[in-house]
Amino acid sequence: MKRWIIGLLALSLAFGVASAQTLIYGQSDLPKTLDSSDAQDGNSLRVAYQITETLVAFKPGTVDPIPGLALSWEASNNAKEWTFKLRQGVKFHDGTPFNAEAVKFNIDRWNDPNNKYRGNKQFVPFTWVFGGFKGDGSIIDRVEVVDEYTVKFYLTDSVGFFPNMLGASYFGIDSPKAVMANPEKYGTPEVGAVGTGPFKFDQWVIGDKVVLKRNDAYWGEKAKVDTLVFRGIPEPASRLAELKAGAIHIANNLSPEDKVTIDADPNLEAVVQKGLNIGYLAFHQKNKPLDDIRVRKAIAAAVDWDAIVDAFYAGLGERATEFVPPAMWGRDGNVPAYTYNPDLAKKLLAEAGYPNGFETEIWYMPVSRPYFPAPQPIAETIATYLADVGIKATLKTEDWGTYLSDYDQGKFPMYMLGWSPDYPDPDNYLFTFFGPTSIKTNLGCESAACEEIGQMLVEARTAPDMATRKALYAKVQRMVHELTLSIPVAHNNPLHAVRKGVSGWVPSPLGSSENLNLVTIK
Amino acid sequence: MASSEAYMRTPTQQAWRRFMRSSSGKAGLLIVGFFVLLALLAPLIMPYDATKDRNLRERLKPPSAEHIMGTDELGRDIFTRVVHGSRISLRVGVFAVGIAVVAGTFLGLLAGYFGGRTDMLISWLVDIMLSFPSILLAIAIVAVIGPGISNAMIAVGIVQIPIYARLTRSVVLSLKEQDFVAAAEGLGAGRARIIFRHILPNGLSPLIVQATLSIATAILDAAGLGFLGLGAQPPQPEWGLMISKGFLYFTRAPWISLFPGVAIMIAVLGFNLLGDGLRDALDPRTSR
Repeated sequence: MKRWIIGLLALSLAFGVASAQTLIYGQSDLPKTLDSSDAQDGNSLRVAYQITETLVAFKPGTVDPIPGLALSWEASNNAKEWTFKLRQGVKFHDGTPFNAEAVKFNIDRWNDPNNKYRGNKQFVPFTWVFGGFKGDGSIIDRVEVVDEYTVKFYLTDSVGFFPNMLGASYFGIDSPKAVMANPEKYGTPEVGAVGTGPFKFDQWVIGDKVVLKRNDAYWGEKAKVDTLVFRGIPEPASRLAELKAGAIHIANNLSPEDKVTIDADPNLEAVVQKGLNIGYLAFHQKNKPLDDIRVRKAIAAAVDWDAIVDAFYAGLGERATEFVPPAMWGRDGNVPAYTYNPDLAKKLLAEAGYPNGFETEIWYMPVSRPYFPAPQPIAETIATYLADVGIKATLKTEDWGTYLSDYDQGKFPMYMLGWSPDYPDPDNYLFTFFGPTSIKTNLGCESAACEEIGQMLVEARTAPDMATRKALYAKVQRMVHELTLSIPVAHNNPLHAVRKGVSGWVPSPLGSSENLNLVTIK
Repeated sequence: MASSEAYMRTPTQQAWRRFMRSSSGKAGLLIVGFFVLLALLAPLIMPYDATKDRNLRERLKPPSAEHIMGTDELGRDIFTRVVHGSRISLRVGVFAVGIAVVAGTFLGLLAGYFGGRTDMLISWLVDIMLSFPSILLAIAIVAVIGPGISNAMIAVGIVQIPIYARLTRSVVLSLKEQDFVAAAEGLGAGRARIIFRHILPNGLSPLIVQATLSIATAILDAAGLGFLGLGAQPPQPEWGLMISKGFLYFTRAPWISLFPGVAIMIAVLGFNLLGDGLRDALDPRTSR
């Protein structure tokens, strides 16, 4: 009898636990901010994306645009004006109604450098996508409230893929009331963020976790779990260890070489994602002698890139030849890969006046990224190949946040970096890497050819027809190869894993736009 | 009989006899001797250039006849790297302790001999430094002067200064009341002569013992800094760094981290045992 009661008690306890489910997500770091438009890294954006939503969304696991907070959109005046019909009856977590005014408030805050609600934030991603701020390169001229649920964008030029740009996870629509209350601290651990998404901000324990709670008033498919916790676990091996121990349910960006281990564990399930990313080694030409094309070509020829991809991607990645991955349009398709030829490298170095090589630095990121699952060993390997031809490259790294704000300062002669797209268009790769501003700041190239590349990308952005755009993108990638501005290394299909019983999780090819409201735990 | 024999021997001979009677001392000497030999002979028997070493076809191979400790993520032979790592670790240990001994002893001599304000000032400094956990202080110093093996060496050295300052001070305090110091003073010897010719040599034995023990701590701290990415930088075959790199592959290739870890353990154990043995030998009060 007594045992019977205990059994019942245990059962009810089990149900009690099941009815208050918590999904724990292990990623390589905690967010830097939850103000999505000020966030530059996937770890911040993934968390922010659960709280704030974009006007245009993407079908889970794909790059097909679907309605988000906007129900429909149409272009007029040769794609220079865009009208968005908004979803009705949606409320922010703080009760503020979502409407055209709210959209205008957000866009103005990002676009207008004099807006008083910017809270001293840089909104760097906004300039990546839209080319600058209002009056200084931004393609958004102004936003107009047509009626309560209609908003109209006036662009400075025709942009056929404008809705895709608004779908980038940076542009989550924040509650105007919450931003106005504290523009500086909006997005910090203290204040959090307020959006319309399936999860509400609950708490952010610095250095430990971010906790989100289900939004019961969500307009779309309500979250299957009550609580969503994000944890920052820098080492892929520790993420896997925690997953094995059952401390987390999802571990993303694992080392490709651990696929064997995951497959062998009956409690785990490997999730291989179709990647659209690119990992590359960039030269910053402010550092001599990297401004010499022969030196750059020598470096490209000195390293056996195929061997590196074979060794460190465990068959999940492929060698990159262009900066736009094969699954995306906008490639030339015939750009050759740099081939391993140490003799040519030595010859080029001698021609450039460095027969005995020179000293330089290779910077690698301190955390694993989808495009560089093992940055340090890859950097070490590159350095050994360079040592073979006499180039003495010191390996350096620094805190990831600092790294991201330093690489465009010219402080890193050579640096490893990569990209997962924000919106599905070749523009998002090429404009980001080689646009008129980036080519100067990120690569330190101010030559006429680089100027030309920058201009071609501006032209491609606003060209009305596909054929012209395609031709321009192909030409840019050929020129980048010929000038050896930066070396594309690999496109990776990232490896993730979940505990058995976790279903509905679909990683996004766009890096961070994951719909965690669809995930269930059994 | 033993006492009459002891009477015939020089102090050095007595110390050596006491040392040889201590089994931990002998074991320590053997281990440390082994590592010193390894470090000295490594470049002669197996020359190694870490900046060029890679063999991508032989990656992550388990220990075998060909690679007795296996290979790492770049296909490098771990045995070669562990052997060459002993050069780095011993150098770091010796230099760091050297810095600490020289600076610490000097401060301790000043504080102990002059007393008063000098003593107060130095003792405050020492107390402040001792209030930090040593590795934390080392991390802070490296954060300021930048990562790298030489900076790690300096940081670990600085962290150990207060130990010697305090030890020397206490030794000086007891020695300066002794008759031979008073005699030297009576004969008109200068302060420098008294400090360096009369007091310091008589206070050396505890310093030697402490230095040996500190080398162990220094090796461990430097490896800790290497593990955190603040000490030796890749591709140097530093043990702590090797452990942290192996971490990425721990589930598949635990030997990458295991062998450098074992090397650290044995080296640290060696210096600790040697230190114990030297204490038995040099401190007559504890000898049986």
